[in-house]
Amino acid sequence: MITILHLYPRELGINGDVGNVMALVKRAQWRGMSARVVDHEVGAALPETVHLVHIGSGPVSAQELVRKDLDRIAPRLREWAVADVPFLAIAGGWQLLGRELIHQDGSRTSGVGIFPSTARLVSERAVGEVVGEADIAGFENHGAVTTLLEDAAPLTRTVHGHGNAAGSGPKRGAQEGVVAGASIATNLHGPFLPMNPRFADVLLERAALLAGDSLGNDDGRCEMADGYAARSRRAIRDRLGISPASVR
Amino acid sequence: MSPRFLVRAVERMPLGVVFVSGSNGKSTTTHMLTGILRAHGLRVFTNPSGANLPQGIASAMLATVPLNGRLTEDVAVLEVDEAFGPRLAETLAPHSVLLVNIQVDQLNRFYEPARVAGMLEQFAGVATRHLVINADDHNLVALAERLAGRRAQQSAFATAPALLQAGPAWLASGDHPGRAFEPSTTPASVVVDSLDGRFAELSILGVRTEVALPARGLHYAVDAAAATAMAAALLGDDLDVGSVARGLANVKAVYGRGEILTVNGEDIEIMTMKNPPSLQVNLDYLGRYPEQVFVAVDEGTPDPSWIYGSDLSRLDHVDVLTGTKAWQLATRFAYSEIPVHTIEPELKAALDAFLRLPPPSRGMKTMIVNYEQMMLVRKALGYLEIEK
Repeated sequence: MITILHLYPRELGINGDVGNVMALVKRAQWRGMSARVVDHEVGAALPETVHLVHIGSGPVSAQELVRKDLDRIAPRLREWAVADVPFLAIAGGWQLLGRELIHQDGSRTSGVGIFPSTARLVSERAVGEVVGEADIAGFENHGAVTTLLEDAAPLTRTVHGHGNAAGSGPKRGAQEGVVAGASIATNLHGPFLPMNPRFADVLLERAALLAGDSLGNDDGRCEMADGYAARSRRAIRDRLGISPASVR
Repeated sequence: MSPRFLVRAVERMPLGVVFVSGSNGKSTTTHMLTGILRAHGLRVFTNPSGANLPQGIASAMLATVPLNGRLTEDVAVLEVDEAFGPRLAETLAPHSVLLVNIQVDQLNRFYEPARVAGMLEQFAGVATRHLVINADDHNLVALAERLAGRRAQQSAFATAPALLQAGPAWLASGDHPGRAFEPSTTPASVVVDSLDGRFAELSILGVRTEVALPARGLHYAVDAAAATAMAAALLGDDLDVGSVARGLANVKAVYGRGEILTVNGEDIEIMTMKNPPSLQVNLDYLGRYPEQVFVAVDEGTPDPSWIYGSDLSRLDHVDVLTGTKAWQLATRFAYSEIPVHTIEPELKAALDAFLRLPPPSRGMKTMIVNYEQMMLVRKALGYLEIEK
């Protein structure tokens, strides 16, 4: 059994990013492994052992609500990251887990430091469907220019979408997301994992390894959901007029 | 549309112009306030439900205004879209403003609650007579504090903390889950004290009054408290709690929340999923497991990700799924293990497939659609639009 820590589902939960956690739990179950979710609320104690961490997105007002608690638990989160516990962080949650967050008024707050990135909030929001190389799709709705540090690798490059460059940046060829060791951060909703399920399986395999457990064969339900997800990504590509060849 | 026309139409109304706005429940609250005032014998001008943009309000006035250009009613109760309120207030200055709540709308338009608060504040600041707010909504409490020095007299409505805790999360939390259950500190003229199915007990200026709601749901009780609080502000000593109860008893559930269409003699229930609260309200209102379900979502919902946060346990299957977002919805249903029998992205073919199903053995055919698909479905089924 794996334990998934879901950070601040109430505050950072308005974009449906809870769907990432749902996908992880269901896919584990459909492949014969049990998964439990611990919702971490402000002020609560952390569980002893965690095999995967998820943090969703939310507006600045929601980030403000969790910042103090996040500072409190940051050392434990960093210990887990060092121990290769995979994190999945979405947009506003990613901004908090990067190295630094620069607000529109120029003030700076340090992040938890799980991801080698800094985010600068800008007034122009990047909003719309996104298609990235390697058949990645989703929806961006964020207002941060994110810079990757230390030559960190982006999750993808956009064929359509602002990605890390945000609202005033280019609408194609931009970096989107970041991969840091076992962890992934992205601006994409959809939610990200149901829309791009292969990343759910990668995260689950890493979590299983840490827990001394393993994933079995799909009982058919993953395949069905993945068929729908593939059609969803295709529908987004078609809407944006992007040929399948350009996302290989 | 000439601004002068609007000003002239309302300028001799004794109780003036009332704007009702906020994120969720403004249509119902507008109906309720209208019902309460009419039960007091007043003549009320109001805009049709959902016609809450300046154009809709102007057309509604144009349709009823007499030749001399002056509405003969005692008061205008107008449901006003948050974003268009400031512009409308420039031509049609509200004397009184009722703000029901601020909830984050993830559909791109109003991502930051502060922005919504700013819009509401622009026209709430125009009010010269009454400003009534939800005392459980911290954004509105802060807004009222900022406007404390203005001419409008302020009052509030509230919900008993125990009810908020037991109620749906969105209602309790607004945009601010961390403050969900803090009891309000702003004194309220009307409080929802208790709720029992379709009946709520309101404390109206200290007088306990049982009222009937249009349907089950704490949000309806809160809407009733909001409407009553504004009625109390407008009417002062003339407020009669018996008339409040009579006025509320006549209010029907609003357009889009379980509207019934008749197609070839068969009744079909159609409900909208404008945003998470409205979808959840509609789902919770369903009996368990409607026998025949049609779902349609298109680009009017650019990012349907939020549906992962909705409780879909009232559904055990979907018969027909359509709209450009059909595959994303199918993925969502897959993760709740809700089988989808037919996925047909084209609306006409999908409608035909659904209507071909024999009438269900219990209940009605149920359609869950976004606003844009509702308009198309109504058109396809021969319902002409009068509320655009």
